[in-house]
Amino acid sequence: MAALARSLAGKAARAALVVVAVTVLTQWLLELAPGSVASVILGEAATPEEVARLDHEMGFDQPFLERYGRWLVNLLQGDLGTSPVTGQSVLGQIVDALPVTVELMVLGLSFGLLLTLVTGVLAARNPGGLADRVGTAMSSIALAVPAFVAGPVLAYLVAVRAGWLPVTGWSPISEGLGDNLRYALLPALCVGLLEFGILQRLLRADLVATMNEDFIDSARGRGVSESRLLLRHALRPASLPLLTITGLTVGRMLGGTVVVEALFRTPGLGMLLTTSISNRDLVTVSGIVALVAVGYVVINLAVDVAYVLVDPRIRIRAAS
Amino acid sequence: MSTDVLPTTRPAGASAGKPRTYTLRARRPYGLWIASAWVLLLVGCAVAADVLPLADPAKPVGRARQVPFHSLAPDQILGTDTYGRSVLSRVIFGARTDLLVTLCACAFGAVLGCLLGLLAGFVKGWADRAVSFLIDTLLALPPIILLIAIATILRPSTWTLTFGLTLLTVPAFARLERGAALSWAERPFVLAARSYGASGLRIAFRQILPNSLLTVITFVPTVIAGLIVAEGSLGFLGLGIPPPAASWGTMIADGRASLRIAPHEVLVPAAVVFLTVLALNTLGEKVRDRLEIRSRTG
Amino acid sequence: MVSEARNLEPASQINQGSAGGPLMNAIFDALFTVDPTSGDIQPRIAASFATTDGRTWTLKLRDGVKFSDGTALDAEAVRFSWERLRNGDVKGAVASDAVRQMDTITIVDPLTLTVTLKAPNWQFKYSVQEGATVWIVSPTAVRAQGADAFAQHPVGAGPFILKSRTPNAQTVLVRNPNYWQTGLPKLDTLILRPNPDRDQALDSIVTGQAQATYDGVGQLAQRAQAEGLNVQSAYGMQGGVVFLFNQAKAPFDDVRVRRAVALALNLDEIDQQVFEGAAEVPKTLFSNSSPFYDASLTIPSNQPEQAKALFDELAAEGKPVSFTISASTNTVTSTYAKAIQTQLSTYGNVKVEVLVADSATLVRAQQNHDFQMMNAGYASVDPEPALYAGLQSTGSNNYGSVKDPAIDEGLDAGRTASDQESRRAGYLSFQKAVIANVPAVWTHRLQAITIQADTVAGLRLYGPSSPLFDGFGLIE
Repeated sequence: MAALARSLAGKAARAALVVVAVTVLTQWLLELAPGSVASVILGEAATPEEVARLDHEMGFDQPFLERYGRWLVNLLQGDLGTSPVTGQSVLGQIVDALPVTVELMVLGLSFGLLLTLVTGVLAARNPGGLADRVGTAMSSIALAVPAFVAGPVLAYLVAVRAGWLPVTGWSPISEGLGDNLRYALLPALCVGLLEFGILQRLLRADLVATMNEDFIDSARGRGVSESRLLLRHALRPASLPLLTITGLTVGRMLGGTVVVEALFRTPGLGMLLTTSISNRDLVTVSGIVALVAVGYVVINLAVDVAYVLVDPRIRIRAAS
Repeated sequence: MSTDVLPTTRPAGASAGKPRTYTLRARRPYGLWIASAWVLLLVGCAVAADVLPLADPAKPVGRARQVPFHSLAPDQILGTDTYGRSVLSRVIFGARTDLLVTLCACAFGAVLGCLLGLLAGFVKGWADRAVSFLIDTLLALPPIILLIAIATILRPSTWTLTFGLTLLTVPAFARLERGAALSWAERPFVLAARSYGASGLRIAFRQILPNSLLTVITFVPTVIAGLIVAEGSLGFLGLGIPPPAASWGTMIADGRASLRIAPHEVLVPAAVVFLTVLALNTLGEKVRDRLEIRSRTG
Repeated sequence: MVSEARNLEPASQINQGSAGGPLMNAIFDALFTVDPTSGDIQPRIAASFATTDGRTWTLKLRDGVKFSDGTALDAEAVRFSWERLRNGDVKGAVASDAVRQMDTITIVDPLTLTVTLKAPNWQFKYSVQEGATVWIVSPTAVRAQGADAFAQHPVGAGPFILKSRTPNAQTVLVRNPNYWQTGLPKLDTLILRPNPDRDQALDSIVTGQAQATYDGVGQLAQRAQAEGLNVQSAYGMQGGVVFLFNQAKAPFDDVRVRRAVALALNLDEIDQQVFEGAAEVPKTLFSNSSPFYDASLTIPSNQPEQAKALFDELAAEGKPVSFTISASTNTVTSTYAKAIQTQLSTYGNVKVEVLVADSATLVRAQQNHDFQMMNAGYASVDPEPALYAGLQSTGSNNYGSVKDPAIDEGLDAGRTASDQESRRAGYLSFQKAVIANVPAVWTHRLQAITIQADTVAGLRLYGPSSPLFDGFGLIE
């Protein structure tokens, strides 16, 4: 177990390095982009001298590493800073925006998982049968509909033609769940579609494989019914990789709802990120990027740990 | 936009236990044929765009926002866009842009990624750690930051876009090649070559790379599909191909303003993107299935 | 409303319906408004604002007006608010045309204040109305909180008090129980939601998600009328939205190039493409509702033959026209830029690129005068202050580096004239100078249009289509 702990400590150290590398890269790249937060704050009528003065006042003319170092020290003390553009604390902005993104992710993933379970189980009852082919076709279609296609097409069909749902905007849950869901549905659907495409393939393959395992055969020999076999015996082990992939998906989606949020003008993390980038609000951008990177790294670590704990073969490999 | 152009890749260690033994139903591969036909048609059109009797995609051909099939003249058959330009012409020239950009990005990404992967998988040790670190960093950075930064620093252009998309593909290919190199390095013939005293470089480039390349190539259609999606997403954020050049993503993004009065401006390129991504995914999958079967039986 | 204010600091806002205007009017009310047709002061918090010599303006306040924190809104509060715009106390204050003209501010008595200008301006009321000068802040609250916190928790004397705000989604405001107009506001809660998509803003009224909106382009009016909504065109505005030439840089330092591009464009066709024909394409600088209107002073436009001849002439001199339009990611602006590009593609000897860039890039380009053509706006009910600020050689918003003595002379004459006749003479010569100089392509005139569901009434616009909410309420 000491070897295991050492290996995990190594992984955690590397993960921390990744976070540092990602934030350095972000701040450095945005520095190179034209315009600065001072020019955005002062507006188009300001003179270059006024911009330079504000840049100086806010300390943006200090060496890059010095500023990064200060930012990192503050971060380690839990202080993400204050946005010079909105005057709000970065943490506060994230706390405002995160639930929106999380809601889209949860709704989208639930939709994707539900559809996955239904089509996956139906497919595994009779691999190669009609249900299987329909399920696979559905997942192929879902994989071929990127958000930027699904968004406008859904908006046209559901919102413009039918007039059932608002096209863009957002209403917080605090203003009533019904209104909130009306706004959340379309973007969540866009998010969920792709995830369904990915997850359906995995679950189907794993279910079919598990149904061929020896322990299923022996259960079958004991006279357990096919549907019970499928639901009680096969689904559980087969859903383990599914959950892992879902976990990884969450990490990916944290930074990945940008397009969906831009499409539907959903005030989530993605929108905060894009507006902050176009305002050159380095403080806010860095805060979000750090959060996403930490999220990504932590989820990866958790997955690694889970596998080590679950699968003894990997534990041996890790220790050797 | 997904961080990874190969979103279906399994996490390390997520093996499903026992090898899959279920059999694929022996059906005629209609899907493969149709997919290949569509891709060939697109490539053909894209290559021959200049020779085909098409209007200039940047110039108006008639009144704005004419619906498809209102006239059967080739310039107007799919209607016109907000500025009166031929939608057919823009879809075909858009195919050229999309395919050119994504193929270049895929090729550059593959070369760079494979070299990195080979380095990691063959040399192992420090090289593996360095490459894995690089991959992790690229994957943990929201790609939008990278792409927006590149687009604003270098000004949006076809080459800027290609460069950005290349960076997106590098981690995918590096991971693939690393895995392949790791497994090929343990094969008997490589071990044999080693024992004969062949140099490391020679083994890497003569034995491991060619053998693992096949695996990598089967992923090309899937990567291209992923890149078409990425290109389209960028068009949406105003970072795609600069106007007046056509690309599918920018066509959809531009058409959204007149979704209510001229939905065909969005629906035509959306259908083309859908069919293309579907065809490329199918192609990639079927080719991989066939190779897997061959390697298992052969 | 169309876009979203960055924060709630009045000094950082532009008084426009599409920017911070609605939020500020709800929280701070307005000192006064100017009647768009007569030019008379319509008192609000101030009882009067007048001058006898064009140089010294006297502001008289209403007695008993209090901020929502209980502080009295007196001459001292006005001085405090204006000084803070002047001193640059607020980081990121928008350069205000009004404060640039102020020389001294003197308190005469608790309800009276005089402001002396550096140069006479008989139209100074418009400058005050259309900048942050129209919103008075509570000095107690600013001193207690500091500027940064005040931008999050503003305290004013408006009809509403801020309750909560989700940037880019909505701002919730509740009734100010101590509002100076008894019985107002009519609403207990006002929710403002930004929506940059006009059609969707209208959709939300049709579906009952919202009750009112307003529009500067007129694109929605037809659809809204068809939906049975209450559409009112309050007043027209002068000037309009433009694509501006940068005269500090080639190729637009050459007036022939500016003229050629203006003549080459068929703006009515672009209006069809971008606004479905709903916008008013200006044929003259001033609309026919203006006292300075003259039908014969038409802006150069849509003369393809002349344009072609000019482009060919320039090419023959070895200077074929080639330029870049910098456009924001805003749909209307980028669509318009692409429409210009597409139209010019039918001419020979002219090459146009469109650079769609984010706000920081564009702002920097404007600050450094480092662009060739870009979008701007010169809209107000009077030529003052928008056209002065935008086209006068020392104007605060002269992004295109216009330096034309004839334009300056006309604008100065209009600003300093005390009687309507000499004012008209000044603006007539100004119009002629603008037609000769071609500083921009005038794409569309702005209008102040309100659209309300049949359940509500009382939304009022003033100045640059900035809305007032105190009389807005449900129909009993």
